[in-house]
Amino acid sequence: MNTKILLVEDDPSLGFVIKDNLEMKGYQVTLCNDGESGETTFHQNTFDLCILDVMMPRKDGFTVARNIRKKDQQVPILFVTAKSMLEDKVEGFSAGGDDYITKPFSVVPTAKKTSTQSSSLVNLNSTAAI
Amino acid sequence: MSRLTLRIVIVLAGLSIAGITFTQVYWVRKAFDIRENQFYRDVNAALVNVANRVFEINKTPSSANNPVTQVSTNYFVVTINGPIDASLLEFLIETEFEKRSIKADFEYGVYDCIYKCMARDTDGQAGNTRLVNQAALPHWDNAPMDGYYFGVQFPKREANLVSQMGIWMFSSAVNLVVIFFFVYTLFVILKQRRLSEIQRDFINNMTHEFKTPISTIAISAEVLKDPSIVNKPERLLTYTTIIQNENNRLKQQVERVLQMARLDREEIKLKKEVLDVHDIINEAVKNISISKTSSESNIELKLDTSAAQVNADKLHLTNVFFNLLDNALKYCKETPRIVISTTKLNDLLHITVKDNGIGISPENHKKVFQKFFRVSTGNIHDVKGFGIGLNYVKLVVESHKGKINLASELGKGSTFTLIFPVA
Repeated sequence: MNTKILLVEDDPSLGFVIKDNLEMKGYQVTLCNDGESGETTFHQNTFDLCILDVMMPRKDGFTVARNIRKKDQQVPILFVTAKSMLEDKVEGFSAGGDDYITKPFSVVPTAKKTSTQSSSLVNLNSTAAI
Repeated sequence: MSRLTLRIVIVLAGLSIAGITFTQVYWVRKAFDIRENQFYRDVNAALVNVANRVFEINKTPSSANNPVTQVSTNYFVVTINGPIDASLLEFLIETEFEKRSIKADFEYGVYDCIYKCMARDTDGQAGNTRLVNQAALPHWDNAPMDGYYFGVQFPKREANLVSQMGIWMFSSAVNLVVIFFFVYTLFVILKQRRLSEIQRDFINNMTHEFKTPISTIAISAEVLKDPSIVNKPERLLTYTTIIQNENNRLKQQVERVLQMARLDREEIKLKKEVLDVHDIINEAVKNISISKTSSESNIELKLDTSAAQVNADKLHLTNVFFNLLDNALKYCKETPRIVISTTKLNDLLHITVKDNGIGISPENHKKVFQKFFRVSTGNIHDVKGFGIGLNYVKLVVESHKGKINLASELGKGSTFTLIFPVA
């Protein structure tokens, strides 16, 4: 079964690049351009992983994560953002995120079976900041 | 400086300033009271002596009671027991006052038994001008039935007393200077704080704008590193195009920041020429429709004035209109509708740019023209920008000796009015 990933990123280039890379590794990726459409898409489908940007039009990533958590406690949520301050990270985790990755980063996705959740986790390794 | 420290500093400084002011006021009043009392004592003693001299002249025994009564703060009445010549009285009062070095100007009047009213003489320190003014001095109600009396009034008593308190005036002035500096320092601290906040926001904003293309390029480079990509030329092309676009974006952003830094360092250099504003507006509208392919021609022009010549720099003025239009299109949730109109009023050209965008709440009306200021939307990142555009608009308009006004309400669109002198 293909792992389904919800990717919410407002920058079209970055969105495409991440999506394309993940698809190359064999994941099924749905890309949304803003927080609101990301949320609706999440409610319409089931996903195994959510990758959210934070600063987005209409609805920010933290709010989206909180709303996702209301419906689903299990699905892993990853934040991918340029906001690198500690208080942002804290807010990210308290909003229900499982990991917080600051830009710029590189995608080194390795599928890892987590025993508790029967879903795959993608590792996005954050490279050193500029 | 943290918020708490700042608050403590302000409260403590405020308390100390209040304390100093209170002490100052207290001592000044005390000193004033002492001087006042001394003045009353001196005047009293002098008038008693005058009365005694009058008794001597009239060859009557001096009365047992104190003949001097203070009717009000600056009016003294002296009871005597016979008529007295006004000039003699003046002479007597003057000598006595001189003895006690009472330098205040005074007026005196002699109660006239026949007409039952006061005749007044004014004395300008040395008795040079004499002015008789009937009933100028108040009548003394408690006077003995058929008694004679005269009154002495000090019209400028308070001013006179104050003028003797030089050292106190000086210390009060110093106190005022201290308060002024405190207020000024506080103002500067708050301003600096706000500036540093704006700067932090700007840096956050800028790193976001920079980091996103950098991430895209980094990931794309990784893809290109994979040797197998050579077999998929269309993928190769897609990624190189992405890198190119992102690179251009970075270049533009760097350029914008540099431009702003340049604007900051020196005055805008204007190459002024006589221009028709309508041409400039048309040019800006054309530029904006090229750069924003999505926006249709929803810009309406109402260029009413026939002559709209101004002395201006073409490039900068075009940028001004471009920025205004760009904002109007960017900060709009519905289909943008922009109306640009021009009117001429008494040698002043009014150009209004009206949009149906999200509007600006009144407390931000001034701030939007500040550099790096962006109306806060938290993490919601609808519109990208550095907070530079309107600051630039204001700078350019003002360097053309023009004015810019903003009328706006949240949710009801904004209207920018630019006013230029006609060339």
